[in-house]
Amino acid sequence: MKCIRCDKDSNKRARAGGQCPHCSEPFAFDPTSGDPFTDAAFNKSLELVSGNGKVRWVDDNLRYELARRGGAGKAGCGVVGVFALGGALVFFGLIGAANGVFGLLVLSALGVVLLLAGAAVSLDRRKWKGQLLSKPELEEYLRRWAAAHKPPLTRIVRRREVERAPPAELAEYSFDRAVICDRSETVDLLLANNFHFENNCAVLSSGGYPRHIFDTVRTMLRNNPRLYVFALHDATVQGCMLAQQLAQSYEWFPSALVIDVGLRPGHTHGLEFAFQPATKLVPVNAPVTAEEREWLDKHTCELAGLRPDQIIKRLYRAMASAPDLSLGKYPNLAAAAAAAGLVVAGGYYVDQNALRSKAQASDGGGDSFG
Amino acid sequence: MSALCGFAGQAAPGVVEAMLAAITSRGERQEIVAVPGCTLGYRTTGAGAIARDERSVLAFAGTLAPGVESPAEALRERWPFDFSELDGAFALAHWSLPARSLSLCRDPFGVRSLYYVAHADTLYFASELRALLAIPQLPRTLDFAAIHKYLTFSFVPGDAMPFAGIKRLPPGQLLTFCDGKLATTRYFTLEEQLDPRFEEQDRAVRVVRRVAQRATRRRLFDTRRVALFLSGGLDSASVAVWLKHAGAEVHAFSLDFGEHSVERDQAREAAAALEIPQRWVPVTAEVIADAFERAADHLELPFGDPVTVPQFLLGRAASAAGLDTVFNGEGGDQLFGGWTNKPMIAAEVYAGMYEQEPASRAEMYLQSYHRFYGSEDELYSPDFKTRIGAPGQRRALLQPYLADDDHSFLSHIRTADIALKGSDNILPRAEAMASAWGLRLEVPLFDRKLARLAFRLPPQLKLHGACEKFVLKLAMQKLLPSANVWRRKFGMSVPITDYVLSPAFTPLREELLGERAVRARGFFRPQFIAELCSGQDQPNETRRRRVGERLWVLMMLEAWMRRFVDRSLR
Repeated sequence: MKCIRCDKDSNKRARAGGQCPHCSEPFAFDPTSGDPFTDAAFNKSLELVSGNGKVRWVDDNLRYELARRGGAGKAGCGVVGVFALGGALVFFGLIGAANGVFGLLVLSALGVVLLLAGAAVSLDRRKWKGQLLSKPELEEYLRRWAAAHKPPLTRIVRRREVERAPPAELAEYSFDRAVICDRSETVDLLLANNFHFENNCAVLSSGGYPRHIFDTVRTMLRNNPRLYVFALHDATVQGCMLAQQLAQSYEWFPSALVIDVGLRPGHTHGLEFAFQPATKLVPVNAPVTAEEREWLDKHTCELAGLRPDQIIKRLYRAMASAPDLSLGKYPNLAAAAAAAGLVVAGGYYVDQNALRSKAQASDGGGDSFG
Repeated sequence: MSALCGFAGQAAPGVVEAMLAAITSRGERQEIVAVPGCTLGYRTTGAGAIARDERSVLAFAGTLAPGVESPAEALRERWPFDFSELDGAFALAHWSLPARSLSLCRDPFGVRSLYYVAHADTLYFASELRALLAIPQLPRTLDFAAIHKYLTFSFVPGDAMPFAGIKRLPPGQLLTFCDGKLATTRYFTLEEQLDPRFEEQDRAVRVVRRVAQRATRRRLFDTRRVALFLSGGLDSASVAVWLKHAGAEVHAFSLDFGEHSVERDQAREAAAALEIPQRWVPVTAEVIADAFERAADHLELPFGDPVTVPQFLLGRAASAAGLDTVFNGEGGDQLFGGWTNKPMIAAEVYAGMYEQEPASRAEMYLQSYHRFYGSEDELYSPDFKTRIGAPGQRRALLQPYLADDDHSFLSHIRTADIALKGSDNILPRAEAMASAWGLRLEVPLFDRKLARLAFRLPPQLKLHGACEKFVLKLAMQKLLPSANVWRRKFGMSVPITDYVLSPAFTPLREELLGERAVRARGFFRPQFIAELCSGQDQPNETRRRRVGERLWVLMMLEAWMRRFVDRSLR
């Protein structure tokens, strides 16, 4: 098992006390002791989920990143070597037996044992892939990681108390757009990555988070009669109903253009590893298509299955492609929405594309904002 | 066009001649007046001269608003005059013979610059930095702290210039130098003083319209044919309206970014509605690359805003059309609460929620420039890091503007924007790019009375919900097409990343930011710059233009270093 500090390998016996025998620094994990991953694999997951330290993430993102990668990662050289040696022993044993040296069949037997052992290790890893750690499990692993290395700086941790309240004057202003999420963790992901700052965007959860400014921000949003609202949610029944709830709630938005960005079932290609079984049937009157109903009857999928940078970039893509009604190009809202490729639903619009595929940084046109 | 320079004290013979020789672009005619204790130098294309009598001498570079025929003489006669009404685009130097006292003064917002340096009991000064750098005996060392700030802001903020000891007089200030002692006082400050009469919206709208109209008229002088840089946004279109109402013959010049254009239709619509002739200035990567070095020749400080070279091209077009005065619409965002204020409001609402986040207002403000704040460890070489000085300098710059007090949050942000973005970036850069073509620049929105008015209006007339510049929109809605007034505006969008990463830019990019150049300069880590130049998609960036903006900052810095440091340092 390689040490991520000195990059040197060591076997279990040499790692007495859980330390690298070369640099004496501690390991956080050891699969030979039952941990599901090595330090290298965990570190790689941290790099991937954080975009090499540039993007902040919530714990759910890391849970899915670990599940995406699968345990200790691909079969290492050791397992490949076991397979190769086992195969060679079987081959030579059989060749010997074919030439009348039946004693060499012992080699074949030994080879079969090695092949079975290699297969067991690989299967064990494949069985791990797709399994989601629970939140308490991840908390424990992160605690151990912090103790052996250091706490990952990109992990989003809420402050116990917010240090300053915004000036009362700000309630008179507003935002150009708002993102309403079904989960507070998604709100954290966006805020901690400065999405609100970069896009002049309010970010709230449908459940009232962040509590200390929820009422203020909702008041501010009512100050903009030309507000754009983007619903961002898991691919669940509840999530797929969010945009409709927002569009039909006067308490939320007396007048706003509401766009359902997703995650809807049609956006989940590539996220199969993150599918969870559905636990309830879709209500008869749920605002979903027949195809979506069929999917939702069987599955759910959390938005956190997407890497944080992709959640942010795809959401931005949805915002940048929303119709700019101030241009006066379109005779009415429906025409503007159609031009932007939005599908009309009941009082709101569905963006079928923004979350569907990988997004990169973009430029030009509506990107001008911010 | 004019410029001034000089010294108070003792200097070697020929100093002022050397200073004037460095600024020939400001006029073919020069004049030197030497009196006991002081020598003034002056360059001009026009009829102006240094004013003098037996008691005082005064050199004046620029224009007053309202204009007068001989501003130097008019001011000298009234000296010491009431500064409370002084406005325009100027730098001046006054020497009193009886008091043996020097006074230096700059316009309220900083359209014209004024630099000074004290050396061996003598104070040298000039409206152009080049003139100071031409003084033979003046030691010059690079001030890395100023470069460090430039990399955050994309311009050099504050009074400390990139040469140790050389300072820039802040706008709206008067400097006196007497008996070897230097003192500065403000003659113009902007402070929020809300006037309850302007709670009545109609009154506010009428007064804004009237004061803005007068601000424009005051800057016309006897010129009738003027160029206007028309972007299609509210501000420049409004200036077009006021110029027409003042009887000017307006010629619009607009940038055409081709398929990358965001505001072309709006610019066309405004010109058509106002019935003013419009010339399009095509902008492509090839055009920008071709003009880059010539534009950089005219910039005395590094300016990392991608709009710099397009402005240079606009000036070229206006000059080619035979015009000598240009108006622009800069200032609307700073005075009336433009879209640039909105990120700070969002940041303030959600501040302080997470561990490891910048919690202070100053840090968010620095981040709002989207250049290298927060990337120092990745960009700076270890050697460069040791030279930039103690931490906290950038936040210290912001402290006078952003500290909590009784004034509104919006007024804090606007004051910071006016002082930094306006005075240290927008105005001196625009003036440099206009004067490169012999054009006189006028910026009517940066008018003293208009600014005072803007700070008397209730904040909600500036940012009304999410509607920025609300009172200006109300004032102009019957005078301009709806698309120019009510369209959501987000700044001029120069497709800088496409340009800088295009094949047309490769030779320039290689020359200025190739590995050899970066290693030779020693400021930055070559790998970081190579990664920027590769245009790689970054996980933490949603906007591709950040790549181009950052590269542009670095290219401009290297171009400036070659002109002003490599050739002049001893």
